[in-house]
Amino acid sequence: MDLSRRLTFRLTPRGLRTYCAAVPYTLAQRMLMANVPQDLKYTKEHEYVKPAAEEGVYVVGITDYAQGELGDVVFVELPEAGRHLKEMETFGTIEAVKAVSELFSPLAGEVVEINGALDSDPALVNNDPYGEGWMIKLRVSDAATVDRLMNADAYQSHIGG
Amino acid sequence: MAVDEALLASVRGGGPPTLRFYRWSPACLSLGRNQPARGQYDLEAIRARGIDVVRRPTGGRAVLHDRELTYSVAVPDGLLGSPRATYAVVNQALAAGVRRLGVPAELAPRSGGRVPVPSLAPCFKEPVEGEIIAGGRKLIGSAQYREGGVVLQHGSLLLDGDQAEVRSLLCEPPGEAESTAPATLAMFCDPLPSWNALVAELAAAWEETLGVVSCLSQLSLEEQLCASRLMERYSAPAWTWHQ
Repeated sequence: MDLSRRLTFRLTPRGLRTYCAAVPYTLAQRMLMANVPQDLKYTKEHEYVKPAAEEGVYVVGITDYAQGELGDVVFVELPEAGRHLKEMETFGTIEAVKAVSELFSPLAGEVVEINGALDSDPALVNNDPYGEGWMIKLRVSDAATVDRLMNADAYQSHIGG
Repeated sequence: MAVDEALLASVRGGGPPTLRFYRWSPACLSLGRNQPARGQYDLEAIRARGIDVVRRPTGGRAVLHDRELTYSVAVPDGLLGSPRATYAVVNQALAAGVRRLGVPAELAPRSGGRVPVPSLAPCFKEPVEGEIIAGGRKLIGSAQYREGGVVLQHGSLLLDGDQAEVRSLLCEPPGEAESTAPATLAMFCDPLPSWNALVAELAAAWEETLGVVSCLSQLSLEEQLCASRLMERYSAPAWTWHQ
């Protein structure tokens, strides 16, 4: 068996119709259901950024839309506190029913705290993404970069709302 | 594993979406990305039986790749819908493929029970929603990895055997009652189709279900070089046994 053989493919118009018929729910339904709090900042990668109690520290997690897309979260891999992250650097992974996705840091900064509760109860990400399902707290290197993230309206447009 | 991830990298760089079928020699135990493994498997027994071990980039639980067919699909996120829609569409195409061989394959419904977490239990112990079952048992187990706007999905179609060896490779095989054995192609096809016939049916069903035009090709030089680089990572104990 030659390991390097593969089939490459492209979709035909019939293929697109097949796909549409195969999806059991519409995009519009999902977008209407997603909670996008007005007072948070967002990334295209579906992370949110929320000011923490301490000045210059921000809470990072994934949005309600993202958790809905992922489905039941079964494992969250987070970095150790003290790690310095660059903007858009991978800081962990999230596994939802056998699908693993990378998590990207929305901002450059130092991880000052991680949500250890996700170790034993990763479903917190599904049940309360903006509250108990938070992932890391970042001491941001440059506070001005927070303002460059998407606001709620821009994120709502990004997910098609 | 390295070739699958090289295909993901290729698609990320604008390469064509790809479907690949392969098998393993020697047999190989593949571990889920986040499942516990370090100190849990009997390495002596694994060596004595001549079995390789690799940790996948995708989630889920352990699979013994022996008397099975492995498929992998690398597509840009959105080409077949969202990652979840991709999962559904790929499984529909695979189910159609084995149905062409006379297997009464269907997609597993949502169980309503707890979601299986990454653990030492074998992948084929229980189907999750959307996976392919036959006669009520799991026939094809699949998992995904999403990175940089590309979805890699791969999985295993059991041809024969019962995956019981997965448990026997553990240092302390669980004493719990044996779960229902998985379904295999051999339960429904006698004799088993040849490898080429099997691949031809799966590929034909893939084209028909998705409405795609496909062509057979080789890995590009860049993809082969990328796979060679990734092999270092996948063959490193630090990756395989990192947890």
